[in-house]
Amino acid sequence: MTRYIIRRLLWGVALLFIVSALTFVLFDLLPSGDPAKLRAGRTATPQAIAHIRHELGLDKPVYTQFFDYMKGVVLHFDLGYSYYSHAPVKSLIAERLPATVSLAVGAIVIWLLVGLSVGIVSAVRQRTLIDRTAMGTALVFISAPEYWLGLLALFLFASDIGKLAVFPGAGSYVAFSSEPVKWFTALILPWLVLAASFAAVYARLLRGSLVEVLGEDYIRTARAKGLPERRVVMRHGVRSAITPIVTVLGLDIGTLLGGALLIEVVFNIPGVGRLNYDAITHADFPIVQGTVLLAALFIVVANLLVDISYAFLDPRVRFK
Amino acid sequence: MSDPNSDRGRGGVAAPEGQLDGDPRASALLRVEDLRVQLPTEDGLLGAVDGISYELHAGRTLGIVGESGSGKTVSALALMGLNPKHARVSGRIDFDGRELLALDSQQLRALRGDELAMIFQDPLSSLHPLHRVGWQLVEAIRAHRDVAKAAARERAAELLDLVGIPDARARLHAYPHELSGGQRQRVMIAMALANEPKLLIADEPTTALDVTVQAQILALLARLQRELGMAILLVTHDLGVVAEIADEVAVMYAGRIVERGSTEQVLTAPSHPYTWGLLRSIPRLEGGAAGHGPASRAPRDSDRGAVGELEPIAGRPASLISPPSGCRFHPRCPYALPDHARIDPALAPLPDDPAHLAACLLAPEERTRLWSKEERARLGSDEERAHLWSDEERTRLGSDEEPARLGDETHG
Amino acid sequence: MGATRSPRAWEMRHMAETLLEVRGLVKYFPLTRGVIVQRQYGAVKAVDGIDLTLTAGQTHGLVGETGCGKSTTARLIMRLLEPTGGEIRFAGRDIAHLGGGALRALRCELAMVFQDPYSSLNPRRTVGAIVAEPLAIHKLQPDRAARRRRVQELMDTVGLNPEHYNRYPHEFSGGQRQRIGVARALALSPKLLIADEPVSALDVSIQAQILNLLRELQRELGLTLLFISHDLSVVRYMCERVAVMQHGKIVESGPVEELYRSPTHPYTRELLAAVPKIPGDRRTITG
Repeated sequence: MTRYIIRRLLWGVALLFIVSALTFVLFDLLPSGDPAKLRAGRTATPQAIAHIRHELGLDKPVYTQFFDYMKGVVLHFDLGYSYYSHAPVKSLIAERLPATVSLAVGAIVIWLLVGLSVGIVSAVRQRTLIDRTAMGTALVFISAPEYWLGLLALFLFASDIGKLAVFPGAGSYVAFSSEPVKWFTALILPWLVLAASFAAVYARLLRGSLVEVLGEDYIRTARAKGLPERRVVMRHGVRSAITPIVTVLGLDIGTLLGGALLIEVVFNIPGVGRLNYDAITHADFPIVQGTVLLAALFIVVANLLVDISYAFLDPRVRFK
Repeated sequence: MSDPNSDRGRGGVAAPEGQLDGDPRASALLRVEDLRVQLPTEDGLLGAVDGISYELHAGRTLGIVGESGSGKTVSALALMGLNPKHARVSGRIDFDGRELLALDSQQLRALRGDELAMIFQDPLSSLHPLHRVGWQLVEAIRAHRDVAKAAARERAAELLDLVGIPDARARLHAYPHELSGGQRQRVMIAMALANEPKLLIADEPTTALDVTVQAQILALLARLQRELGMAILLVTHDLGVVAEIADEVAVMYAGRIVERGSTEQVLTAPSHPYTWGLLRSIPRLEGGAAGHGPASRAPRDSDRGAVGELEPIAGRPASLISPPSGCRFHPRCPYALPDHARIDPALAPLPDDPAHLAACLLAPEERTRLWSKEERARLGSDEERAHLWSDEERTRLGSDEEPARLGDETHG
Repeated sequence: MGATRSPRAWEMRHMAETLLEVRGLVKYFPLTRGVIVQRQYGAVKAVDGIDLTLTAGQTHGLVGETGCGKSTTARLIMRLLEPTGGEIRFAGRDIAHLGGGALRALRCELAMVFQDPYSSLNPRRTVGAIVAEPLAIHKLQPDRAARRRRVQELMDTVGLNPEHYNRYPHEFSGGQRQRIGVARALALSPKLLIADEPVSALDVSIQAQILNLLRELQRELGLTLLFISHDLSVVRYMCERVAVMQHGKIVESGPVEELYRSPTHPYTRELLAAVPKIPGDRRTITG
């Protein structure tokens, strides 16, 4: 098992390297604003732009820039400096991370509770009205774009612009450490909106998986033992059906920690996703590089954890 | 009064049709009366089981034999109440004085795994792959007995021991996929026996196993039956298995029982064309129907067929949605008469043996005659075979074998 | 049925040539461990040195229980696997390590029928396409109409209605699907047919039909048949000679009747003793 983990970590590092290189290359190739020009402003002289360019190190060849960057990351954990705000990327990301994590964790809890219960009920009451309604509703939430749902939620429930002033509007996020209650209420709508489509996906996934499992021979054996149906469904059925869900969950968590961009933008939450979005519009490359690297890291780790957990969930899996 | 544990060939339990209450001797543990199971399908109502009746006494084994589509598994599941929710089950199932079809789900669940237990065909898919064997056994025990986990684990180890698994205590920690096929089936048996059932239903318990393992499992079941005095209902397609451990046998075709009686009688003097068909389509290890025995290799100048070919039953299994009119077997029966397409025979006892019943419109004496003709043909007599095969085939066949006389018990 | 006797059948039976000779056949599957570099620490000895001889026109059985290596042996002979050692001589040629074009040419002479009639046919293709595929691959019968006629001829030979050319596998029963598998195997007029548990998944009465079909085809076409099964009674019915396998080795072999009547190896005795006997089996008094 340790051999397996070491091997996966090595691959993970290699992957991160490749991701960084790719981002670098893409940024170089794709047309975007010239950071020096953007930084200098509209009325800057060519000399001023050239000066800024040199300051930012943009006049060096691409591979030198990449090499310097990687050296900084590996040796000093230094992710560079933002072109736009002249602050270290590392600290910018660090101060935005708690918001993203708050958003992610809350959403995850909600969508697991809702999605899994709906999935189980649907599977057990297969083809009844409950099942059909639930799956139909789920389909609606999967199809609806996140930002649309977010705007709709604000339009209906936000205290400033909504029809029913129930929850705080966009931009009301505060850190947990300063005002816990306000932190909580400000996150309710974003949580619900973010959780909605995920819950729908998980409900459908679990329903499908559980329906298949409930047709297996060992479920019949469990019933033949005279076990109460509830136990058969949960300890025998869901126990087997949950494994594909865990895989998906790991990846979703990994992705979300990298920043739920659309939700953060719609609800104006100062998280890593919002940071990324702003940086892109300013061609603030170091920040983008940093957030991409962070997102990739989360996914690699999440992947590894999911694969390890699989061995605990399914004893038939062996590490090679 | 006969001792139910002695002397297999007795078969004196099945009272004639319609007189199920009349047996003055020990009352049956299980009495099934006119059991029907219907399954609604897209193409119509499927009559999987269409009115079967039988009895089983404690300490005895009844084999239910049939091919796929005969309804044997569905009927076994009906006893346990394990048919799919949309199935319609009717009739009477009397188990130890209780009418099973009248019980509510809670009462039935109390019986399942306790007094009434079942083992299934494929032990790899029938055991939960993600739970350890010990956990599954303990669950079976604690479902019906109020015991502490530790005590249940003790019992689980005892059970594994009972079914002949070496190193029982260590095996409790194993997962099903870590065991061999034979061991898994033993685990299933142990789980079924956890609460000392009165009746064990075994659905094709050895079909997925190697022949040597099958022999061990059958011996195990016989031993456990003797030690625990439980009744066994064995569902199988394999007549050999039935011959090994069943006291009585019921042959099913198209949802009905077409023949029923002691194993000895039904296999040596069967009285239904379907049973004859089954017997003559099975290759044997000994006796006639040798594919390439020495006789067929005798030098000849023209190629000829081997002695005693298997004779498959003509036609296809009957549809259970719209079964044939009259006798359900008549489209495939080599002895069918025009009337047989109109009249549906009931299970009736043979005149010289009330415990042996068959559902056939041919007269019993006629059937006895036909059977001895079949036997002689199978064992390789030229003249008899002439009546069953065409001329062309007859010229190809040749026999250097002397036909054994019926009643000649020369097999060792 | 008796009238159509092909000249080749006669030839094959009476020339008594050795069609297949296997010597010291070995197949090991390596077990490896290692993080970056994979090191081998052992092997599964699926086939551990077996010898087998098949005479042209003969039916030879290979019997054993799960894991004895009989299926692996079949795949080695068919060259679906490459042996780790030993030689396989087919019609005099060593085919153990053939590759490329020579291997492809070999495929016309060896054919196999598989156990599971439900998974060995591609459910998305019509029966006609399935049976015609070997012809198409080896570019025999380039004319589509001729190919279709050949396929229908094959379907007729195995007892299927040639008009069902355009039906899909799921429209047929298990026994019929197995017939389709046999038709496909016969498409290239092979010399050797290997049947790997061809009737194990079928009902009793259908088994008899397929077994009789195989016997008939073997007689008609002069095929050499290697019949693999775990069922001793079936092997007795089908085969002249039989070899018993255990743990990758052949423990005993010989003519069927002799071996069954007086087995010498303890495993053979164990196998024979384990087969349940149906009362009414009487020994015939043979010469």
